[in-house]
Amino acid sequence: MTPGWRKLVLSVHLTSSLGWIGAVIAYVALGIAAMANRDPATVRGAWMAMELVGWIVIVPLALAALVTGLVISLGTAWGLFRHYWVLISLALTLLATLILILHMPSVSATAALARVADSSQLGQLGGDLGHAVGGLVVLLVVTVLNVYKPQGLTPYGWRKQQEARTRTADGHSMTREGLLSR
Amino acid sequence: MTESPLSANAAEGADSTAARGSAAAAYPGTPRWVKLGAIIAVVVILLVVLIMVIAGGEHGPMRHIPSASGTAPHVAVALLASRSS
Repeated sequence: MTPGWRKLVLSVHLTSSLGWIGAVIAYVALGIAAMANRDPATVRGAWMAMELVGWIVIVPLALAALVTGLVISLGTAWGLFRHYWVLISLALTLLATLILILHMPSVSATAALARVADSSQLGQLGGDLGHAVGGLVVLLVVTVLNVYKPQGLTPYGWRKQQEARTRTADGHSMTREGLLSR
Repeated sequence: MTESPLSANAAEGADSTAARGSAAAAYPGTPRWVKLGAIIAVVVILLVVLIMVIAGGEHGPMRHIPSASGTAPHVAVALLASRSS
């Protein structure tokens, strides 16, 4: 990947990843409003907003973060399976995206119910905070991993590193022998 | 992902500089932070499963809604009506 493409994909990746976190925080705020408020209009509005934010903002950002993360990993020397922090970030992002997509139809169903429910039924809807807060924690862990990049090669990464060193050492020794023979 | 992995690899291999000459350097093993993270993940997953079992095995926002055969059938009817319209 050329430096120009790498910076472009990295920019999209950072924007979508951090945007995902911001959107989930907004979703949590709406969930708290839906759970803590007794005003039917507020609860209805909160659930309708949660559905919109979920499908129109969070899901696209999650997919963008996942795809750009894959592109950056595969298109640079970091690789996808060489470093534990990359591998764990991928696994957590994949898990969060999967749970999000599987969970959103339930949010839509609840939002549809909120549109027609009466006051007492609205009070039973809750705020879907478990999934949102859990997802937020997972995303923060991924962010910390991406910022700190803790050391640690996977067995595959270690083998690849050893092969590269062997090649480099062989190349150096061949060059030295070539120079000495002149 | 802005830093070069080469620098990370260099730092990682610093303690095995002596072994660099030999092609058969041993794998240093899984890092401690990975093991610790795995333990924490397992504990969290077990806690979530436990909470789900205690809560009746259901989760998600719809868990609060009575089923069509439950105490509030009009809710399910209203939901179906809103879906079909």
